[in-house]
Amino acid sequence: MKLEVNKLTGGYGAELVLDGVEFSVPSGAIVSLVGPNGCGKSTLLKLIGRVLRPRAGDILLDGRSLSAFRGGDCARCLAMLPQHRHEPAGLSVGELVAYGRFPHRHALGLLNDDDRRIVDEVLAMTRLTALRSRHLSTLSGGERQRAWIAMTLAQTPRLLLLDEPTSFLDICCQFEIIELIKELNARGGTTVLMVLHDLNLAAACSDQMIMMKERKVYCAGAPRNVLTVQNLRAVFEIDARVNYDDAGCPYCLAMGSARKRDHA
Amino acid sequence: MIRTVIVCCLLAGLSSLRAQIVREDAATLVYRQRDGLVVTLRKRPLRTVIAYASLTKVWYAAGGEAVAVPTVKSKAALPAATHALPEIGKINMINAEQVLLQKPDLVLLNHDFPRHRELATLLRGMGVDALCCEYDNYADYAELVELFAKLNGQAMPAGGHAGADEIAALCAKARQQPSPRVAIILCTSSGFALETPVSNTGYMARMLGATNVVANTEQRKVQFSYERFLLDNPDVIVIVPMGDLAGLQSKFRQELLTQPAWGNLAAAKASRVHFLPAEWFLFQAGPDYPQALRHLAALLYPGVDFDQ
Amino acid sequence: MAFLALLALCVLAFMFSVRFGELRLGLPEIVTTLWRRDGGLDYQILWHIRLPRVLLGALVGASFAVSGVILQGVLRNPLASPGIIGVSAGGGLAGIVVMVLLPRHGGAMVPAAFAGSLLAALLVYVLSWKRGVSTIRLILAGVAVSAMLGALSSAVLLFNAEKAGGVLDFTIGSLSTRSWRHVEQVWPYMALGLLMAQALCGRLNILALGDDVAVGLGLQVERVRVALLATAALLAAAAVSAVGLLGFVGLIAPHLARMVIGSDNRFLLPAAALLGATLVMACDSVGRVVMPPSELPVGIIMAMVGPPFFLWLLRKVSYEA
Repeated sequence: MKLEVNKLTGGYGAELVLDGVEFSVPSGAIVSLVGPNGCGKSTLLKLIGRVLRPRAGDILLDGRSLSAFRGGDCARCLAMLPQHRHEPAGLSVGELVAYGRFPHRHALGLLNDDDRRIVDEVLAMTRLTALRSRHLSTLSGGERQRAWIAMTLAQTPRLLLLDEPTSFLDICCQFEIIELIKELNARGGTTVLMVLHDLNLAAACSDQMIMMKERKVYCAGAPRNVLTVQNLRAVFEIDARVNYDDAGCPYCLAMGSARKRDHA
Repeated sequence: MIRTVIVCCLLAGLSSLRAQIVREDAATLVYRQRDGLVVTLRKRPLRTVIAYASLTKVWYAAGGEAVAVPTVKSKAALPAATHALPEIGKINMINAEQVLLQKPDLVLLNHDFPRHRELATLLRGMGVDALCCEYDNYADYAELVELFAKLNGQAMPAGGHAGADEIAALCAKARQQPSPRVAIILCTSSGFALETPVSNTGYMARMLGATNVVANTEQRKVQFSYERFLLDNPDVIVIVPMGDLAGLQSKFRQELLTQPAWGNLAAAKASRVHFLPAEWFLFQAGPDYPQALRHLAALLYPGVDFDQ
Repeated sequence: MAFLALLALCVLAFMFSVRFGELRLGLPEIVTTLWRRDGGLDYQILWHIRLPRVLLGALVGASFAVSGVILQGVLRNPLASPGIIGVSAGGGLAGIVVMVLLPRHGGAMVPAAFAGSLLAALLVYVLSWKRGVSTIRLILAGVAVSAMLGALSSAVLLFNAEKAGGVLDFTIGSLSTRSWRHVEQVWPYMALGLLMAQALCGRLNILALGDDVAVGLGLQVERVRVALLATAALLAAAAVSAVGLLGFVGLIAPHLARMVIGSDNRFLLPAAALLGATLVMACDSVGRVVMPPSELPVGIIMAMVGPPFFLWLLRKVSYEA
């Protein structure tokens, strides 16, 4: 699914968090959204995920405006994993993943064979089949994250939005999640747009990167074009060295802060 | 005769919206309760259940009999004839099933309790006569005695209920004296309140010609303000105890007697501060009203001989 | 399954409640008396006094419990109970005003308390609205409105102190002198509320995951939230107007049901309803037989027996709220 964002302006109440943001995500690509705290990454994701309504501008999914979609239709092709979630007590992994079929269920709300098959597949893909009846509260951080991602996958989305899917996870779990996303993208051609804090991780797994600064898109493109010394200094205010691995993928090493200090 | 007129005038003058007998014939009596509800009661009930303890003495004084009474702490509050009767629960926890098991044709209840009012509605719906009475002071007593006598098919003596003559004489004599200013303090374990001229004791004091420091006649008691009390400076202070007497006396001593300005009160200087017996002044005296009034008269008008 | 056990428990409580009281009859005799409808004293007592009371107790318990489940799900707070949205305070004020200031219109008690409850809930919702309703604002507005209306109730009682003693039945919750008239006045609202709750419980499951997740799954969050809150308010209002401010059922029945059934609202709702009904019927029966011939209000028994039992259960069963 192709995503286009045109002159998007929006925020919380009177406060403007995004001002005229424009970019596009080609169908089937994995795109990372990076930027310093407060630049509006999460807000952007929320606007696309319909949690917030835009003040101005437009969001197009495969050429069709987001506002033209009805709630249920949208949830059938767009799935979002937000940062803030609530885990009700006693909820098991299987039940959570089954909730992902909610947009597809008909009025009576019962799961049919198709739904059950999809849930089984998703559980297999996220390697949670053995943990199916375990309560979420008894799982480790990585397993819990996989369970929530599994729920979004059960929606069988064509566009997947992930808000910091790897934060607070150890390095092994981070790679697990990233590999899962890559597998999903390779298998089904799902377009992925995710917010990541780890620049190197973003560069390693994305087809494209979008770097944001102060409510606008600063630059967008292939990782090697976005992750440059100048960009890092301008956007993140750090002095960094950028190297390239054997595959040509950039990785950066931060050397120090480039922020101007007040001299006494 | 004149004494009866005086009592009637007292009653007429001191009451506002009164309940009254709307219609009466040989077999039934149509009565308007003070809240305005009109009820039809059949005369000469055979099985009366009483749900409010104070009404028992009045009912018996008017020639009636009961088959069940409420559960009370001290049996002295009920006439001796009822001590062996089955009980239907505490006044505020009346058991509807138990009431019906007595197969009553009349149930006497109290108007102030919502549970009693609800029970009255329930009983009337099942064909049992129910009367919600208000019994707060002497005026109510006189009225209830007359009503109950009529319900029982008894004739009232010409001068009114037993003791009415005595009461009329007492009040007439008392009113000849200069009117003292009286404060009636209701003393409970949680604090003090001042009784108004429509409370039990307040009404009695008014009958005897005393002036209450509280003028409010909308409620039976008002908040007690020590400052106001000092300014009012009554001639006589009487205290109605609600609860354990010794404990309340000690509380009164601690909280009021030891206050710095207490000694300036006229009543304190003249040693005219008296505790009243609860059975006549907290609860309704009923047939003992003559003795109760006499007791109060002696306190309000010391030195006056009321025995004639 | 656990469900059938709960159903059996409820039926048992019903039979126990109908069996015990001042009128001593065995269950078979009770059934035959009711069947024959002979109009004798036994029939009168059973039909006019005991049966409507037990039935109302069951309905009230179910309503409070389901209301509690909905609120705990919508507000995502295990301490939520019907009182938190102001229903108890509103119904309490209206009921006290009628009982104390308008005793002549005793028949208006139930409609007044019902209206008061709903108006208070509406006030809480309106006050917590700011481009949508967040759960924290709802809780805070509920606490504030409850405190305010509670203070007004206290003021009414203060200025009418001699009548204050009689309202204890209402403020603590009592089923005494409840008749078929009361049942007729409230059962339609309770039935409607219970049906609506069951219809919305699937959506409640989704809402419980968080507003953001719910939107992502295609739920119309504000609309569903309003519908759920209205259902909870309706159930609680009907229950308060019938029995008074009976506390505790709305708080612990959902937790007890969760211990048995789990968190899936589709099963939790009916389970909580059964448990709530059982609790109220059982406590009412105890109140009727524990101190003869007096009849203790169901609220007192609930307050004395409920919390210790709940605490004991909490220690026995491993439970994370």
